[in-house]
Amino acid sequence: MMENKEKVLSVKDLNLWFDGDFSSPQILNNVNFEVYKGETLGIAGESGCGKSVTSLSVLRLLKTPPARIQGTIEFQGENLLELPMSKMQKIRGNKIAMIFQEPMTSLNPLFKVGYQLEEVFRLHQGLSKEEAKKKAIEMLDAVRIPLPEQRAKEFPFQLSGGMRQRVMIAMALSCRPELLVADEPTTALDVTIQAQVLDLMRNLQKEFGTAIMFITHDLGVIREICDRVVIMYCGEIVETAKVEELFANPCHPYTNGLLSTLPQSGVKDRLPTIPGMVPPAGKFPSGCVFSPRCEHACEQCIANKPELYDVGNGHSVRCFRYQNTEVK
Amino acid sequence: MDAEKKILLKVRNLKQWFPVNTMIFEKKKYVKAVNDVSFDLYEGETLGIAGESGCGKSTLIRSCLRLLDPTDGSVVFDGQEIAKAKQKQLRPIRKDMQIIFQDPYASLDGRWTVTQLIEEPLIVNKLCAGKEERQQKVRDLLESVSISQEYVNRYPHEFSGGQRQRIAIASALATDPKLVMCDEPVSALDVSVRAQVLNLLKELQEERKLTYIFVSHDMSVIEYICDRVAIMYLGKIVEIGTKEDIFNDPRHPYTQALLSAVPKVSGEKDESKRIILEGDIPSPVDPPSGCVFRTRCKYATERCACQEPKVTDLGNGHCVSCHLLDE
Repeated sequence: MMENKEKVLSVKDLNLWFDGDFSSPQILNNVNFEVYKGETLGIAGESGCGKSVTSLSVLRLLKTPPARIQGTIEFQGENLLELPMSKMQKIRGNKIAMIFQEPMTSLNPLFKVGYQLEEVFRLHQGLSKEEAKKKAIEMLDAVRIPLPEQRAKEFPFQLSGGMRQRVMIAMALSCRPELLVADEPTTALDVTIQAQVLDLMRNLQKEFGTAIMFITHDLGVIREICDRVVIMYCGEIVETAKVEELFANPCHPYTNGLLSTLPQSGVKDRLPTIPGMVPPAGKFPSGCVFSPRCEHACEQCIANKPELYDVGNGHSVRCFRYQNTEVK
Repeated sequence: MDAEKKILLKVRNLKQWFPVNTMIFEKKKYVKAVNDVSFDLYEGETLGIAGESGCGKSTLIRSCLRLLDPTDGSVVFDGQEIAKAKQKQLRPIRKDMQIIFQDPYASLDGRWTVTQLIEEPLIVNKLCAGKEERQQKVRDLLESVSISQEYVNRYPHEFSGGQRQRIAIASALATDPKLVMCDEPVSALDVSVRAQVLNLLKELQEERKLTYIFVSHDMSVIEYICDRVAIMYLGKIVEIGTKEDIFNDPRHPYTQALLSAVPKVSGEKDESKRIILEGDIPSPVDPPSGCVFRTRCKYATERCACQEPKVTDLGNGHCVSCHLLDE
């Protein structure tokens, strides 16, 4: 089924290092994934696993150097990593848009919300001031902001957190991008507001047909909004599957661990924990990255790096225990 | 049954208002961060306080601890009225009530070693006779929060977030408090570390017979660790009851919406049951008249606008302030 769908973005063998004076730790190690038209791909993992860096490298927002990127990021037949900056500027905000975590810091506090929205239309679509203004108000209305004409004349500090995130979403969607990269868009929001924003994103996706790359550490949110999910740990993809499949049948010990550490409704027992801690960047284990914390680790895991093994149904796992699984 | 349990902290009509800068001739305005809150805390239990940001949950525990001077109302801790007590009178009580803050990166002084951080409350409260006894106590405390003895002379920046939170817990427990207020103690931590800290808090409670007030915006954490739960909205407790009552049979429209908005990793995914609230939380400077929730409540009637709802007791300590229930 998936082959029929149009690929929007495909990331192949993405490797990334941050070059320092004394060491250059590898942050991403052979990251491969695809985003298809109209779907939502979730990227989940704990802090420091490389999920934000992945999203920033898609938009070429990392400064190089210190970052050193290898691999290909293919978008509409072009490798984004090889494009000149001038071309990249035209893609950013137009074909690929991004929503950041903190809506207060991502809007410019010195300009009115409406003006910041108009800028997108003037820059990418060459509209006149009046036309852009009209479009901006339309967009504010589309993200269900009450009284859009008035809100457009306000500064970011006059809006609440949820409202600001809506403005960000409006801005990101105003050029009808093919791909929306959302980096923890609801983490800074309260749960009732988070529910509103997720609902809005779901509806807008239906309306505009945008593909979304949704980055979050909250597995509950992943289950709410995503179609497929990629679990990252120490700069590697450890498991990828459809959402229902992942939650019904998590295979990688890390995914299993993450899911079991979450308090479940009605359970009072001691919470299972993952022993140890996430290793700091540059000190990632050489074999399987999860082996020092894994209860199933054996000699093979410490010596060799497992590949992503296909276990069928679009589900792959980076764990030796699934090396010889028969694919149905 | 309630009569048997000893009340450790009794809060009645507590108000904590902060003045807002206004022009000279304008009417004085206040942010009513905590507005008329009453509850009882029984010995040995964990009371969860849940709500969204700005609802006054942190302010509430800070005024209960007298880190703030309450505007009005009474706080009785272990039989002593502390809302109006003088600082001098508070001194001996302080060691019985401690607090663990949200951000372990900010709550530990970066210039102090682990030993200094933990022994400070022992010195201030003159709890140990000599240096030897004090150091033994520090070692015991570190052991109880599973931090290795080798680390006694390290500084906070050498530890990870989870370890720092453990040090903060050890420091809070140094004086053998009766009551520990936990202000979002696991919110800044990653999921895998969060479980370790939650387990630790539970173990310590059993070992030391602690009473907790646990503030969190994360409903799954609240459900896991608490015995009773209070739901706050705009400076008021809208619903309070046992964990089972709140999670299985929420009665206030806000509690229902809050619980349904939490994304879950297990169980049924039923989108039709989800309640999505309209609008934002109103400003606490100018809260709605009558019921504070009425601007976002789908059941709101005219009565909600003009009359403040009374607290309705549904039995078993399950209290709700909503007009729907007081007929």
